[in-house]
Amino acid sequence: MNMLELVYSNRQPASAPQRAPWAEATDRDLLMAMREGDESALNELINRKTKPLLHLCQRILGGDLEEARDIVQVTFFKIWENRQKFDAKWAPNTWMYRIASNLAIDHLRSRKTRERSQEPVRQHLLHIADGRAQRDLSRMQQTELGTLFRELSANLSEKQKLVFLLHEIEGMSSPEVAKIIDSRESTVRNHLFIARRILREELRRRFPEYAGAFAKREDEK
Amino acid sequence: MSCPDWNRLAVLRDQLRDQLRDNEPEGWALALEHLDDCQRCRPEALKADPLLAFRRLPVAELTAAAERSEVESMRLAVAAMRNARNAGRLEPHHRFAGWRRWAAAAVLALASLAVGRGRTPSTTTALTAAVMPPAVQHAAAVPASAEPAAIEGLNRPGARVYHMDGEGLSVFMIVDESLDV
Repeated sequence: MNMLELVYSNRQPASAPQRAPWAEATDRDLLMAMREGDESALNELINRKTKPLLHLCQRILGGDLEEARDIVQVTFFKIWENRQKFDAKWAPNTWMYRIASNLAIDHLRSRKTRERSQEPVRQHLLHIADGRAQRDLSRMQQTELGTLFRELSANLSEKQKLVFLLHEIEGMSSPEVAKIIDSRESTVRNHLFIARRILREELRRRFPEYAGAFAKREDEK
Repeated sequence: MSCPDWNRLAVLRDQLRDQLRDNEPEGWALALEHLDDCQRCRPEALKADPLLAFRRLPVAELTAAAERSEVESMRLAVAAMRNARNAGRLEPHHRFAGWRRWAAAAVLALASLAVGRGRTPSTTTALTAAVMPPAVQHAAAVPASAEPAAIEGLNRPGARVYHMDGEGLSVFMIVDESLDV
């Protein structure tokens, strides 16, 4: 065996490829390990949760990926900083989504303050865009849908918007959403009811061709 | 899976919501998965419930390689934040940002006062070389005089603290041209 072979053979694991140390760990296991200061558990959590948290924040922020990245980065940092506060009885996803959605909502508030001074310009641009926009809801591009949702959800409160996104788009149950926004389930259902009604009415006004079936149901009530 | 009966599903779903129930009609989850990939039944689905359009809100569609890269840069960014916190740099950074805003505000206030009253800062007390709060407190103890008076030399050359006494108002302004405002 020459030297090159020796070096090569020393670098190979003796047995079958090792499984990743956290492969079988649950999210709760990771958070509990983080409580003990295990940084590799944080890395595994980042590995698992970057994509879903990015998607959540992007939806809350109206599609801006760069802003969503910043929020998710701070979310992981806060998770690490507050790891001692995590209670094993809590659902890990709920805890993490709560941190992320609070940060995203805070960011939205500061963005609104910044945008207020540009409101007349924004309204003018929206007016122009409205004339040019694809009028068929089913053929809209994702970016157009993002803009549309941003406009329509301006009529919702922060909680209503967040509940709509978590329940209707992320597919979470009312109890989960209630824990994330720190409210009762009945409040969540109420927020959801109002959010759906407001968004539907506005869609019905803008896209009368899609009003048919659900408008008929509304009228029958 | 063939295209689902969207109108029937939407009616069932609305009925459940009206009864304040959280569960979804049978087959709803599969129908949504189908909708995400089927352009053919999208118009019918949106006619049954236009809110389904928002299932396509824009999110980053990451390939496996892009996702790995995203995760890696996220790890590095979070590690950098933790290192900064461990080294005690994060909080001072925020304090520094606060002082930067103060310095900018001070320059503007000084300029407007000088223009408005036809006075220059030199007619009030101008103090040299201080940006830290203890120095500001020290400056407050110095009586106003007609000539600029240096209190003490600190380790920030070029930094100045101005103290202006008005009627019922005492203003301290810190100016440091080396700060990036």
